[in-house]
Amino acid sequence: MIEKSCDLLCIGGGGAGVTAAIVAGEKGADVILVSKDHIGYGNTRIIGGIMTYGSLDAFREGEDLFQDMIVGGEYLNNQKLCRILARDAHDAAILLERFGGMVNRNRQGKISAEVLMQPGGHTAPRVLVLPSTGPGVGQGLSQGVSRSENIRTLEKTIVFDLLKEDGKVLGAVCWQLTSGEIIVIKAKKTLIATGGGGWIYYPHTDTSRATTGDGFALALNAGAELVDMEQIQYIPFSLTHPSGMLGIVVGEPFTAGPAGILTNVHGKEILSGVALKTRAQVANAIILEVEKGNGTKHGGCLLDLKANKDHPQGKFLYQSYSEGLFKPFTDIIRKAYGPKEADWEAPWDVYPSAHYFMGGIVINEWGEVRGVENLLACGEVTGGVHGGNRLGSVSMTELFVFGKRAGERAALEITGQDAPEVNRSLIDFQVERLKSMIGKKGKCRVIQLKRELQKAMWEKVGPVREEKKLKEGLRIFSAIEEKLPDMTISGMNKYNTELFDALELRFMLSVAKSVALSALARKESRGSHIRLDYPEKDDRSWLKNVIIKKDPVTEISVHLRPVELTRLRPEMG
Amino acid sequence: MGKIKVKVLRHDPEGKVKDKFDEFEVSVEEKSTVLEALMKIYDTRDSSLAFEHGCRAQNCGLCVVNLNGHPRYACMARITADAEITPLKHLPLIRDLVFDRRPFFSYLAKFRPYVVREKDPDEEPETLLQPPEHSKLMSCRECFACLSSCPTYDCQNDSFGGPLGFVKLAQLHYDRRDCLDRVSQAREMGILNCMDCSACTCISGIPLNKIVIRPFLALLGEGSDD
Repeated sequence: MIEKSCDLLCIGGGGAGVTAAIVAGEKGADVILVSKDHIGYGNTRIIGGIMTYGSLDAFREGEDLFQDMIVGGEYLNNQKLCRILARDAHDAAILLERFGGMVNRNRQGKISAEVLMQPGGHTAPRVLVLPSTGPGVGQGLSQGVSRSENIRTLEKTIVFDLLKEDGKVLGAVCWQLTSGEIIVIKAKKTLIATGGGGWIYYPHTDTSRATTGDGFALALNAGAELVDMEQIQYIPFSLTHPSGMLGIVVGEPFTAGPAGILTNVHGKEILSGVALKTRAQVANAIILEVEKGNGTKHGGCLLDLKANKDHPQGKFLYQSYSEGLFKPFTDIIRKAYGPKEADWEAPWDVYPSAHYFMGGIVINEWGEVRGVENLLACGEVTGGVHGGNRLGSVSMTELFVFGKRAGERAALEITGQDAPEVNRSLIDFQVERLKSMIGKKGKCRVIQLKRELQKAMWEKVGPVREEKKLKEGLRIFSAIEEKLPDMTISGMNKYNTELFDALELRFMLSVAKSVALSALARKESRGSHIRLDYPEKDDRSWLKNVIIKKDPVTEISVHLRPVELTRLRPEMG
Repeated sequence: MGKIKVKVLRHDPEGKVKDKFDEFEVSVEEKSTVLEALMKIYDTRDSSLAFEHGCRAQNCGLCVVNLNGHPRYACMARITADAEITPLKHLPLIRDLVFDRRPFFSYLAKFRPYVVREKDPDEEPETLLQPPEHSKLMSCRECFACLSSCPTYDCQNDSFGGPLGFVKLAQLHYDRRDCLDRVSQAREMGILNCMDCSACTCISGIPLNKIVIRPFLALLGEGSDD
């Protein structure tokens, strides 16, 4: 066992965690950055390459972006957080470039109207292209970390649990996959930036294997609230086959272009003007059409892009797919479907796949976690910014804007504070709990339980929901939970993936239950949440956030809280 | 396609067992990938099998392995009967197909692998031109396949950084914000070893020889005309 201490413990090596770590380091905090993956990976590493910049005219303070986020999010958003993001959106590009990344510019080297794009749900062109996509962002972040003298990194290291005493978080107990070491980290402040939980839907997801929702569970166990966990973004245009590529994303509403047509298996158009619609609107159209029995044999709808090739505004997209930003999608289409599809001569079989968790930990404007002392959070693991639908490209901006705020706040409060005293028995208790899992003998294989959970999440708590299925899902999760004590876990020291899977499975169970309970509670269809038994949106009763909490005595409990409509409210007929 | 046999090289970090091939029978479909086969083995047969993967869409570069001796992204390469799956060459192994990336990055740290500016920009975002080579190089997957394809690279030899090392320097060389002499660093990293060689390949399509190795050699006065 190794013990370390620091001012700020950042958990998560994607965009949000790295930004917070670098910014806090610049303000003089001594930071330990723990990443379950390598630093600069996770979902940040695999982004498609777009980032909200906002209006060129800074005096407008992003009011239009703010409005689009709220309307797109169907009024579930935390308007205070949206206001900050919209106002500070430029900072994201600036920070990314300070670290080492780069955004696209015009031939004169300036960010101008001609380089801004307009993904679906945005009412104006305000989105920058990141020319080297995810790997470029990831390496930019790594540059920022290598430059910093105040960051120590621990890669391939998963947090087992937070150290918590008297309502205060004092650090975490971690385990490193590559070395097999248990590492105890005492910290004045702890920040969770572990990203979303898309992998809980594997294989119906385009997210990173690392996104098992660890931070949701860590925060929940520490006493935090999770908001609107039922709001999971399914990205509409993903592959339906072959099996190894199921769920991989190949487009975005706006890449349907001005002439793209989305049809059911019989060739009937199911949604017009796809390119301007939000992800939720397009995904929901496909989901409901397939539910009616009008899907292809692979369970998808058909996206026919061919007419764009001769369309004056559509040609540009075809070019992007053949040799530009979206060429990676074409390479994948060719492998999965064939050369005709890759050349837009034949339609693509598409179905939504799990892409992003809009819900998450409840934070204030500074990333401080409501109800838990010394704990901060930023990025996809937090809730509120996106409400019921995230607009394409806004998450990249969120990582930097809120990563910066959380990093600054953490550093500010650390100065003058003494290193935390952590009760020895608390550390010993957690370490013993972890040790007791290593080399355990039982009848269940960890990976099989994990796959059972993923299957149940998709089938019972996935894109198509109703009370009966959700309750079945919850029963399956309980059954899996009951089997946890009976798992077999390898005792090997280095790269013990069975233990790694077992640690993730505990988190995934908490997340699965939180999503299912929230989905059960929201008795309406709003944003990305579709209830077949409550198909309408109900503004009169449901302008409410669904809150998940866990207190020490009871299990997880569900609460409803009216959305604070501080600036913008829907028109009610 | 039905059932096929694949061989996977096993490496035990404790060194109790010598490296050996394990043979597995897996059921596959026509377009099944190497990653799918590895995951099937892991899920149904042996969850001590160590391999990395991230995005299943050749974006993250984590799943790279040698397939019948050639580096490939496991997520996109089709699996075939009697496939031999081995880890990348010339790298320190942790277990089975997983190698340790840290020694390379510790070595790289000596070269200040980040933008070093003479002065901060007057306004942000600044006016900035990005050469096409820079955006191409920043899309490097850091998958380490180029090191496996290099006949000279050896992770224990600090006098030669290998193609990935040169790529990392070239990223900064083409970055107009950076003020350090990355060309001299390339010499220090041993690029003169590359004069008569162009064996390294990038499996994500970066033309290593054209935009990294030859330009550095030319700037060191060691161009192909000499």
